[in-house]
Amino acid sequence: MSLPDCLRHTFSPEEIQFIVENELIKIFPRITTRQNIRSRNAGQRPNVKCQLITTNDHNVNNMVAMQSTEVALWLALLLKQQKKCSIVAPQWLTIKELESLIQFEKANSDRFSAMPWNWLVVAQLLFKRAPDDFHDPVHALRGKIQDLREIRQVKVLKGLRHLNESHLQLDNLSLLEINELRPSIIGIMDKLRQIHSAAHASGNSNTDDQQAEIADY
Amino acid sequence: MGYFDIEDVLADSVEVPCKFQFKMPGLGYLEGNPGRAIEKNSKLNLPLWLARILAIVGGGSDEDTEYEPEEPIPFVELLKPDFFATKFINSAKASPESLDVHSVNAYFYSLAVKWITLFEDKELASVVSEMLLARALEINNHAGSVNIVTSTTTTDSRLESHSVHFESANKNSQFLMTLDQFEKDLHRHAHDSYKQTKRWMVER
Amino acid sequence: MDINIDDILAELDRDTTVVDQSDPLLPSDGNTTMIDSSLDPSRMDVEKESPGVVTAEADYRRLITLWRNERCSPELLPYPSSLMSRMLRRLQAQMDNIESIAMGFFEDSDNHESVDEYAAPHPASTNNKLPLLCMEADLERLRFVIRSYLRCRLSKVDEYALYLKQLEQTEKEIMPLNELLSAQELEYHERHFTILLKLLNNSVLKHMPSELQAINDTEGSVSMIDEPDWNKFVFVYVKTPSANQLQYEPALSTGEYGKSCYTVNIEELEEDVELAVGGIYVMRYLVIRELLREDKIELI
Repeated sequence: MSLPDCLRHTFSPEEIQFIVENELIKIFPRITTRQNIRSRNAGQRPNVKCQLITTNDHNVNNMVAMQSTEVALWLALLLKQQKKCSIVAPQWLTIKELESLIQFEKANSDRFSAMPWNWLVVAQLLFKRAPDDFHDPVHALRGKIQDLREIRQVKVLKGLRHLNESHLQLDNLSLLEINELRPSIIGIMDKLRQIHSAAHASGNSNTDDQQAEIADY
Repeated sequence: MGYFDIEDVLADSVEVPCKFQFKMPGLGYLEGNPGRAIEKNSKLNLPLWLARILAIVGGGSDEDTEYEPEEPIPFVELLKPDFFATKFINSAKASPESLDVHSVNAYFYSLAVKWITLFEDKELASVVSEMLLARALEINNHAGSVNIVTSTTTTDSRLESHSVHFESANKNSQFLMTLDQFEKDLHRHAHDSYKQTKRWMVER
Repeated sequence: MDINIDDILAELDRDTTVVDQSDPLLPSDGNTTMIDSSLDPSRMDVEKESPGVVTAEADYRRLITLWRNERCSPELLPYPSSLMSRMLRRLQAQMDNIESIAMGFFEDSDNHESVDEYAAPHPASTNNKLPLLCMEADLERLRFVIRSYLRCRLSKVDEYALYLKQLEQTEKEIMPLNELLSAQELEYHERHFTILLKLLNNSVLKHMPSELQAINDTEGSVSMIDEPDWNKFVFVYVKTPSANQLQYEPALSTGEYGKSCYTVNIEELEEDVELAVGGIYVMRYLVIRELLREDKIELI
């Protein structure tokens, strides 16, 4: 098959990571890439510019050591791996913030806290690839993230009880959480829809109706 | 669903009870009496694909006419199969999670959709919907219990994760034996997704 | 089956040589490209582009969105011709670019060993490694999306071979098949269909009576042509329009909680649902199909 069967109706977690890695994140470079006129005049051979085709390359070519800037997450992780920068963890990724988010999750049994859409992926990536860039101890942060994930999973399971053949609203669920649930939610709702329309289609006109609708577009 | 959908073809070949409303000369071989006629009012199990047509197409002089509302009496009357009978419906309402749907019929939901379409059976639709949802939540719980140890990523923990996984699989198996084809697929897809995500969480 | 991007590129180069030569704005730095708006004005609607300078970044973001939409939607979505040709051109330019830098890099290090020209404390050659590393990673990311996008489309061409064939014949859709598919995809579809037909003929159909040889009978109880499941549930993210759009967007209304929202109708259930801007919903595909075409929502 041109696309593996397991990817026909969903994304792999690695693909979700790929999508998240396109987002910008703040870094503190350890090197300077900005080329000033003086050094060029001094007859040094100019450095090769980093020319990128998936993201804006201005910032990465104008880094000044210890002056914060923003680059795509994948680029930040690459620079980090080369020990050329430290990554600034997002503001919500601290013990204090996570604790208040956990409090919110516990206080509101019927809704999710407004976590960013990529929280789980960003947290996991930074724990693994930039553990020395956190002010708080990573194992404690990891624990909080795990707590948050579990509280939210319980809520999701409760929410599944309300699945129907009409629609569902899922505000504030992150992309990885959605992707994890996708097969269950789609599988159940599609079957409920089939049962419902079987009972409500008058005769065989159902397919005709659909075709007529499509032709209208 | 679709023309080449093998599950759909198999579901269509499940036999359902029918009552013949006419004497049918020469069709005795269907009930093991070759050369004889099928008597009026005799009951016989026929595959759904055949029964459906015979229950729609009317008897009488003009056999080739397609279905029309004023049509007299069709060749057969479809009788409610056991798996949609009152007894089963009551237990589906009472404790859907403990039903052995697989032993009732491996294509239960496909058949339910077909039956509901044939009779516009709204009551059956709502019972089956509720049963499906209740069981699907249970299936989702089982699918989600993938116990990969999340704390460390050493070789030891991997060994451990295998054994834990094995245990939970055993615990699951009894319920999983009761799933029909749709439920099995649902479980497999959900399980794969939970497992993939968990694996990613451990490895990253 | 494996798709070789080089083949696609080679193919594309052949197809667009004329355009390339007449295009005075061939990117020198592979970074920004002018859209030649005169090239194909009819495509503008499909891709929602405004003529002018398009950054590589904006194109990439658009491609990511289209890739995700394609992966989630049950039907095959229109092929973004000009976006893809810019992407493939940029990809080729970047591959050449990286190659020439890499060559220069090796020359430099050779020079450095033999002739100690300026005895600079930081020879350019060592500083070139990092940009090259980044550029290669960047290139691989683009290649991945393009591959995955095309693979996804081909899998749908496979799955809906008959349906697409029928579309071609009935003109039921407003969009002609040659805008839905790229030239290469059209050829692929045509050849795939021929092979499939041959297989069916040789293995089964020729042994059947002629009245049972049809492969596209839609009159029976089940249509032989598999259509996309138009009502399949999909995950929808409602995009936030810019302040400008917000003002002139007739489809937007103010919902219960003071949020802007689009109202959609689920015909079968005779139910109106408000889709609030910024919200995430699970919806029947057909219900939100028009909003997707108008780029007001994304599939996630």
